[in-house]
Amino acid sequence: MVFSSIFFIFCFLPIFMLIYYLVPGKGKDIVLIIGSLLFYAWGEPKYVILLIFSAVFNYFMGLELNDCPEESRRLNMVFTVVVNLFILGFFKYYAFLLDSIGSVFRITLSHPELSLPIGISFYTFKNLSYILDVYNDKIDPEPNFLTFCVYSMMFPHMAAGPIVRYADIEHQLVRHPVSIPKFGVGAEYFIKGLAKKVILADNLAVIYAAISSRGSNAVLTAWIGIFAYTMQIYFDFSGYSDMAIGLGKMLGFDFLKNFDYPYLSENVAEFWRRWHISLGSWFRDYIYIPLGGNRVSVPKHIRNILVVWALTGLWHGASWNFVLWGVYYGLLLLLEKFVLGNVLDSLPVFVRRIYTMFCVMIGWVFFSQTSFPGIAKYLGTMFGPAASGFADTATFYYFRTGIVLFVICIIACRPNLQNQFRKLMKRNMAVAIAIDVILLALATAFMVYNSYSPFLYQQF
Amino acid sequence: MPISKSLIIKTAMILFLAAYLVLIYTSDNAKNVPMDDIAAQMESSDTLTAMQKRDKGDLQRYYSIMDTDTDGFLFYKDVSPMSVNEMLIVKAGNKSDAEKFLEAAEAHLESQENVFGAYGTDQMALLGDASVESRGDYVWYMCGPDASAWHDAFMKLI
Repeated sequence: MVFSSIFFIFCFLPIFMLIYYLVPGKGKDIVLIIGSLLFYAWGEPKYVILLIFSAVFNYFMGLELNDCPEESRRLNMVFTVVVNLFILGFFKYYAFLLDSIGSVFRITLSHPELSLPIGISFYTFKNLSYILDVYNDKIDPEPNFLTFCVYSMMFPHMAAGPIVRYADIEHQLVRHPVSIPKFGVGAEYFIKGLAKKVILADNLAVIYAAISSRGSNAVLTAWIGIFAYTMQIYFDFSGYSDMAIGLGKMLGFDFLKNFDYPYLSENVAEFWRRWHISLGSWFRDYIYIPLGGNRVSVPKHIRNILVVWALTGLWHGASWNFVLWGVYYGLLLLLEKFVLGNVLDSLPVFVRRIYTMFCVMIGWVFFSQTSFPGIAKYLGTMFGPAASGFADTATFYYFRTGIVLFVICIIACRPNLQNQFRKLMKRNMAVAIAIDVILLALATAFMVYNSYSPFLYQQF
Repeated sequence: MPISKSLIIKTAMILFLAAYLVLIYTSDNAKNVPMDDIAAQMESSDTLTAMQKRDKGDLQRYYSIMDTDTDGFLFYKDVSPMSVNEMLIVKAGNKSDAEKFLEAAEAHLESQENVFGAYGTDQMALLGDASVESRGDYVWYMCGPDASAWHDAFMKLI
């Protein structure tokens, strides 16, 4: 089930919320767990078992890490991490590994292609953060199984994050009171996220799909295409995150934000502090710092950055283009750290933002084109060698049809619109609610008209 | 040394996981059979060829699936607009495409149920028994009095 579907919004959510609000006290947790399992089972019931196993296994191992003798703690931690990564690897990387080995040795290693359980990367990383935090004595293990299940299986952030850490919601898991004002704020977040997804992202997707599927493009057409994708992926993923945060608020939780206007960043390092914040901080805290971070020799520091970014790329998908995308960012960060740092600081803000957007848009080519020939062809078109010209009739067609959408996207990428809306909410609540109702009606119209359209990050 | 309770629980969990993964691995497995071979075998059934063989235009019209996105398909549909009898087998290039095709087939079933829901009692009974599934890279939609025979024949092939 996806958030941006008629069934979820007008059937599942109202019924679930009604029951959730009517059931008192800890009964809400049971409703939340059952609702989460139903939500998950809607698409692929066979993987519900995996979700439940992951919760049971990590709950038990959390307690075991606390109770076992000191000498076997490390062994238990390694065992838990290996089992979690094995499950992730089995579904996500097994076929990729066999295909890669096969292509190196020029042999065919046949294998069935298993469908990827929805959200497996997100809930595996969430559970790993819990286990590692227990091992490092940052948190106490959760003694109540139901409470742990709420943390591990809660549907708002199950399918596409944010990767919520136990430490961040530990107290909320014990007590998460609901209220009408908080429900209202949550609904506002949800509608804003829904509008980002179905009104902006899904329409941008049509433009990029049309351009990238053409046999050949002019330079400007390719740039329009990748600009559309740049906006699409932001509004798709940040839309999902807004909806997850909004649903969390409706259920009485406060999740940390996952995006902080990343396209306003003035360098690539800042971009990654504003984009998919929960993933970036996960890799920082559980991979980069344990490897030594920047408190090591320069060669080891370089190694740490490249390892973290290759893994970040691989996390996104079992495909070499994602590894390339990760390494590309690793190299850019090294370049900024060791070469460009002072030069960038001396440039005007708008030049720094153009530089960052240029790097990010090139990065999305690696991300969106899944084959190396595809990447080479698209980049070749953007920079001329593979282009059919500088501009043609298609360029003007896509520019004309997309310009209104692009302008709205550029405005919505900045905080001003949201700030104005918050001021309006304080000044005139009725108008603010009317705007939300109009947005919901518009989004519903788009959902009725458009076909099934899952979130981009749900596939990871 | 006595075996500890926690070791027993951990072993049981790992055994459960192993059994589950083996089950998933085998249940989602399908042989790689060319669509031409599948068509040749399936078309030996008179109940199938009694319907009209459909082309890529119909595949897009009824399922919104472009034939260029597939590794081949076999599509038969009754001529009568009042009939819900049809059989589609699509071979996808990868699992991700197979999932999209399955969603398209499920959407087609839903659309048929909406069309016949108000008046077509017999059609609704057949739609209720329709097989819309996927295995490996194959996705199928089978609906009609002979759907279960088509299903069995196809299962033997993959």
